[in-house]
Amino acid sequence: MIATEPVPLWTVDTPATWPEAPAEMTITTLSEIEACPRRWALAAAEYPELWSGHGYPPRLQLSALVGTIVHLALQTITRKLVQAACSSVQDQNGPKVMKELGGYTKVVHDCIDRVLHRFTNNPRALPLLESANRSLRARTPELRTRIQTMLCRVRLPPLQTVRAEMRESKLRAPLTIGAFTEIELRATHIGWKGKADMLVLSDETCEITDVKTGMPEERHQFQVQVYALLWCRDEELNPNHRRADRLVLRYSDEDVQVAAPTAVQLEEIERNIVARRDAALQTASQRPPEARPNRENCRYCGVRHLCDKYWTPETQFVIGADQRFTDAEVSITGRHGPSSWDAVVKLSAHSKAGTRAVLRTHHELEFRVNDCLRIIEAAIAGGDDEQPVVFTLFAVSEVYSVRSGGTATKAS
Amino acid sequence: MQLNDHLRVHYTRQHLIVTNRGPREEGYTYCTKCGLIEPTALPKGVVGAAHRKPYPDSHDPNCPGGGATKGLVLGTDFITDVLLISISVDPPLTLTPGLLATDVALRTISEALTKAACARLELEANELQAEYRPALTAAGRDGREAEIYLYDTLPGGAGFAPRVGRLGLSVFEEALQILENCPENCDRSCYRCLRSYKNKFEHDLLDRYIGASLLRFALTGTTPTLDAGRLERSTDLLFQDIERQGIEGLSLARNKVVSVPGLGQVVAPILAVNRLGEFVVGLHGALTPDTPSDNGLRDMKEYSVAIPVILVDELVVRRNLPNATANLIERLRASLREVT
Repeated sequence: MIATEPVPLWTVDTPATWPEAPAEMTITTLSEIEACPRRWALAAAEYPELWSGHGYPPRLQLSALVGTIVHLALQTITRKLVQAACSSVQDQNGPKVMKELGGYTKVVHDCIDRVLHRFTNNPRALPLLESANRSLRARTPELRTRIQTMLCRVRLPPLQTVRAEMRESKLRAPLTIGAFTEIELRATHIGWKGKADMLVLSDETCEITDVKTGMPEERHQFQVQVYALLWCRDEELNPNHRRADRLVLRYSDEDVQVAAPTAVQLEEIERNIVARRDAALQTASQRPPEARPNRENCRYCGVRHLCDKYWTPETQFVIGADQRFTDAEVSITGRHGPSSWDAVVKLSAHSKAGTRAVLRTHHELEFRVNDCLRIIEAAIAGGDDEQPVVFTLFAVSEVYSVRSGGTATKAS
Repeated sequence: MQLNDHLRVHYTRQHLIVTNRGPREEGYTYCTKCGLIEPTALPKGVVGAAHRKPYPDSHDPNCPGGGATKGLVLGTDFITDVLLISISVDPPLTLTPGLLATDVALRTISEALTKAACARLELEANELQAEYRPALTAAGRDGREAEIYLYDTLPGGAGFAPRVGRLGLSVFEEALQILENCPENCDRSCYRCLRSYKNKFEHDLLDRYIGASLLRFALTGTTPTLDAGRLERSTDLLFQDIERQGIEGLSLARNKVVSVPGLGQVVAPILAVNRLGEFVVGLHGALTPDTPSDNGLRDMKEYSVAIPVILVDELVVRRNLPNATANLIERLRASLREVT
């Protein structure tokens, strides 16, 4: 991470207490626990010595932020359209609503500000906020086009009453005709909840839409079917157990309609998710929770520097070497230059243990001989012709100092 | 010295470092044993293994290799007179670092300024040289400010650069004249206006229309708009190229009037229609991303809820039409994949 001043050091270790299994299950949590219970536990545990937020401070990932911004913008505009009683995207009042909002560009900029504001207390994300803001604003035209293209496919109900403000008031009362954004659905008797991006109720139809900003995946269809189940089983919002008859996955470039489950299929889904929830809770309750390292799970894991299973030769072998970026554990052998250090590789998918290395930093970091460092996402070069391998830290790289006993200090 | 709201010049005399990063900016591979050097980008380099020494050695003509250093950047520094020219811009204009449009605009102005200054001071064309960079400020990082540095090529300096600074706005106006009035009325640049043997490696970055639009803004505050004729020609190019693909289920129309709910009638430069609806396709200027020249299209782009507007960079259309067409088709095709 780029920093002009030394980043305050904070020590991390395996959490003092592992997190309790979640009281209510969501699709996201289930996926996390099923993929790697250790990753879920390390990310969900409390770290009061690091910050006041919940879980381990998340990394700032631009691709994820883009998705969140698109979501937020669509939600903002849709809610305003519903509040203005626009009956469809063809409504003459649509542009008036957009003018009141200041236009797509302003909505995008507002959403960028709101999303980045969530990271202002995150010490891990703080050094990247300025460059993230700049990168996101530079992508405004792309975001504008995506949002406008997706918005043009939104189906709004012919409304007589507007209920979109219900969510803000936190009321959980039976829903009637209306369009509801970011609506939380709860099936308390099975311990499940979920948040659908949009629920449209009219006399004729009951439609659930989930917005996806990434590539289509099979699991998205299951997710929206789970929302159909949660809606049907939600005693507070839907006491008549009305079934959804249209499920839509809204991707940037297309809408995909998913078959709405029949009553029998809903029961099957219910059995499925109850069983998976029970299994996940059991796994998450182990101490320490099981680690399931593999290339897929570890590649974007935000807590891999804390995971002892990740830092083993076996896991590094399974993950394999990337030609451009790598993680590595190195031991400092001396200063190489004003902002570079000589080191020896202790563990890396890219280089053998014992390989000479040079660690290049682009801001001031002070190490001592024999300091053991865990480097996350450094650019790699060299390492052939008997030359040392060069690890170059760039904007999103991180370095943690591992002390004896496994304690690590965030250094960059 | 502040020349106007957008132009500022500052004379300095300091070290300039000139570097050569080699082909593809990958540097050079250097043998630390014998001094043989070659571009790192070479697919079959010889420096790493045993090779012949680059100098006569009757006793031992071969170097055993194994002493290669990769990615070496060659450079030299010298003291000279430098005129730092700061250009600041306001939205929708942007000089985002690293974008082709920014490089084209600044490289073109650098060449035009050098030419204008040399003509004004009656110098040889190679006595002044200009380069550019993003301003080393927050505004520079945000694409709101860039710097051109004009310097004397004579080591030690000859005092030309500060004299250019004292000419004030007039030298910028003369540079604009060069850009606007090519004797050949060329499409981008030619040997009658900007090109020379000296800048042969930069010919691809010289576009007098883009350079002029930025310089005109810097001098008069006029927001760049695409020349109407050039806009029409570029839109025609894109339209014909998409039409030539013969995409099933996609109909195209040129300069079609569309009725946009709540906004009235707007002329769509290209109207693409598939079974899901209409898409309006237009072009935007290289330095003004997402900003069409036409007011109606601008409103539609910001406020339309019913019909999306897709804007394509005019610079990409002119320089890489297959890429512009492929990207646009992908976006239009994707919307056809809707499962109903």
